[in-house]
Amino acid sequence: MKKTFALMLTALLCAGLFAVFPASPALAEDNVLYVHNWEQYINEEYVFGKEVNGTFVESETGFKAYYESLYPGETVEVVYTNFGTNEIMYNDIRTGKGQYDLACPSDYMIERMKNEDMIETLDLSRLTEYTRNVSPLFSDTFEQIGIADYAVGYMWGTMGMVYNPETVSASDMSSWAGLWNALYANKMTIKDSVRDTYFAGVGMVYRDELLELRSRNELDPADPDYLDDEAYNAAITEVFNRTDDETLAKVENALKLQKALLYGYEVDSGKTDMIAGKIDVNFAWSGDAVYTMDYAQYGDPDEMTEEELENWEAVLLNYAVPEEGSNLWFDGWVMLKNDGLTEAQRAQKQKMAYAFLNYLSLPETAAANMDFIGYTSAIAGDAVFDQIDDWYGVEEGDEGYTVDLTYFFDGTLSQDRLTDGRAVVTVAELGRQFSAQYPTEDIIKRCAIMQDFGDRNQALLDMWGRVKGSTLPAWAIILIVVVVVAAAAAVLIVMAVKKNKHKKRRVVSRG
Amino acid sequence: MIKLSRKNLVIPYALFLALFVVAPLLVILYLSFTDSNGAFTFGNFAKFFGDPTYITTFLYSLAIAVLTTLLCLLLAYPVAYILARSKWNKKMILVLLFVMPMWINFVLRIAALRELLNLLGLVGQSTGFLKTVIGMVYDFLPFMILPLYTTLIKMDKSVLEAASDLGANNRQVFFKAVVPLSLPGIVSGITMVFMPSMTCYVVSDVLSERTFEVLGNLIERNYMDNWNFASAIAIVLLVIIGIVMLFTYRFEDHDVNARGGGLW
Repeated sequence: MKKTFALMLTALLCAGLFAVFPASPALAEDNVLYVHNWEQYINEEYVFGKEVNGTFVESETGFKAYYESLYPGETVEVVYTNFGTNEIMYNDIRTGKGQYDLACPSDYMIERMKNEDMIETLDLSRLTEYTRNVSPLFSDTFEQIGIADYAVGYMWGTMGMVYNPETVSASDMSSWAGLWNALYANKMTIKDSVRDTYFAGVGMVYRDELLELRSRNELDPADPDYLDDEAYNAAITEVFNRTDDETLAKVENALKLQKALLYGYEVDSGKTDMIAGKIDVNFAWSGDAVYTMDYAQYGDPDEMTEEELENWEAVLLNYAVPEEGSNLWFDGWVMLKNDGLTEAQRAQKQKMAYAFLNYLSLPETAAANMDFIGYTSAIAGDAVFDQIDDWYGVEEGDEGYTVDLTYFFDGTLSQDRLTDGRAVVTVAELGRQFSAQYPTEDIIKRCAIMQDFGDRNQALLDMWGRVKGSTLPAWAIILIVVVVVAAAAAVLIVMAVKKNKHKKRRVVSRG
Repeated sequence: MIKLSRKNLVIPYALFLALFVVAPLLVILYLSFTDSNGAFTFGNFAKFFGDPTYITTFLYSLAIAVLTTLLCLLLAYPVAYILARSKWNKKMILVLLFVMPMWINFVLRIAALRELLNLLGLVGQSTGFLKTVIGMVYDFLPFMILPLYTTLIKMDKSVLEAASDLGANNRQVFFKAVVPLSLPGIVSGITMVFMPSMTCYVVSDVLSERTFEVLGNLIERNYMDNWNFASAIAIVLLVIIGIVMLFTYRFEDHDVNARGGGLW
């Protein structure tokens, strides 16, 4: 009896071990769409639904409802998973950790995945909502960099500095040199990410060249040195994407100099440290900048009580994009290749995927997502335009600042929202949340898209390693190694001698 | 029919060991000696030992681990000694006080320490090493106290009395009887502190604001883009820990039965 029981226990334990591996993910159902997105990067309540008293209630505005209205009588299930960085997502797909139909990588990663033939070509004629509502800024940009047939724009922004105007001068923050300014030593943080920090380093070491290009863009068009907007943007894109050895060496030196002035590198703590006033300058993506400025101004609605929120001492932070030029980044949806499907399955997958992308491209969905994430959608249209007035519009009777956003909204708005054919908004203030979300056309012009480092990736990582780590001089290393080895040898010898003594003693006592 | 014997009962653990310990180790070993195309190479190790930055990081890691272990030992021994010799009714409360920090989440404690060190004015690049050592000692001290305490409390008092009877003064009793008898506790304490402080990188990341690097950071940064190099660093780390463990093992094997067990 006992034996049988023990045997059963053993068998059970063995079985338990294998239970760790699910047999194989439930891929069989044909109406399941696998979506892989950044964490906290979609309005889940709006798109999927929410839990009420322990049961999940589908959202009436959600994707399911949209799909069923498109294809009456058919159903769809979305399996929604998250990733933390582009590299993690890339490895998730490469190592076959999961099966995904749609993913949302950033600019350079879309380029890499396209080059490695991991993503499907998109049929734009099936993306009616997207082609109707996408901002001309992105249809043009995607065309230019050759991914118009591969990706659907999702969120975008710039990179710049969030700073406290009470302690930091705005003119210092108008240049990359601001992040090297000893006045703000131990008061600045920068991203702990090789791509972003390298970008800042390039902006610093080539700032004269970048400014010269800018001045050539501002010349009279008749001047032989004049650069038109497109040529100017192409020129700064070339500068910001330099990865030759000389640039690498220069940037390495610059970043090492900068390190001594930093409060630290950060992954996520920059936002809270900025709100708490621990630091005065934070190098940030525009979406994070909006978050930081919001919370510094109004307090944290999730963590604080009504009373605390009311008594919150507003700190007004600013956001600036360096004059020399900066980064225009975006995340876009791509459809992943899957060779394991039959023709019928593939057709069904694509039908669901296109529906999902069209759904995300509805201005109402985009506005809901923006409301939740705080980033700026690549989708334009009425609902998105109205949101600006909702968030940043002037109080009645006050004068505001008029900003022309035609570059972003052109061709996507209904007539009654246009002023003389232009998309003009009047907002209460500039240089803060609104400016981070919708930079002026002038700023867009001087923002470059980052390309994949390609085979220079390892060289950059090694450079970044040398910046992040410290380096002792060779003589010190040799000295330390010699001392450590000598000490270890000494201990070994002492132990060996002692052991011998022991043996001798034993022998003597026995005798 | 499988016969039920001790041998068969070991099967579940053997499977676990093979799948989750041996197999990943073999993968790491394989990766560390190959390049991204799968060809055999020593290049990953050559790269590590040929780069002064990596060597520096390596030395700093070693220094941090050694310093942390020594400081923990110096701090913990008197505490454990006092605890073991105090009256029993107070003892449990005291032990509790020293062990309780371990009940609170480690990351939270380090986050709190980050604010505290900031308040104390320890800001800036030059303090990274110091702050890391402080954080590690703070975190791993209970791992040193407990094994020491368990060996000291199990120690046969009559041996110490005998030493006194034979004419040893207090100092001699301590150094010639107490310390040698507590060696197993010291060894397991060193093992418990040295290993995590050699590999842990959360402490240095949080406290130094990511400006001070240890070997763990190198692995973390490289494993996304270059598994082979990251694996090579992991193997180097493994070998170093292995060597240190061999050293401590030589002390340990004198008296296996008196090891600081009990709570562990």
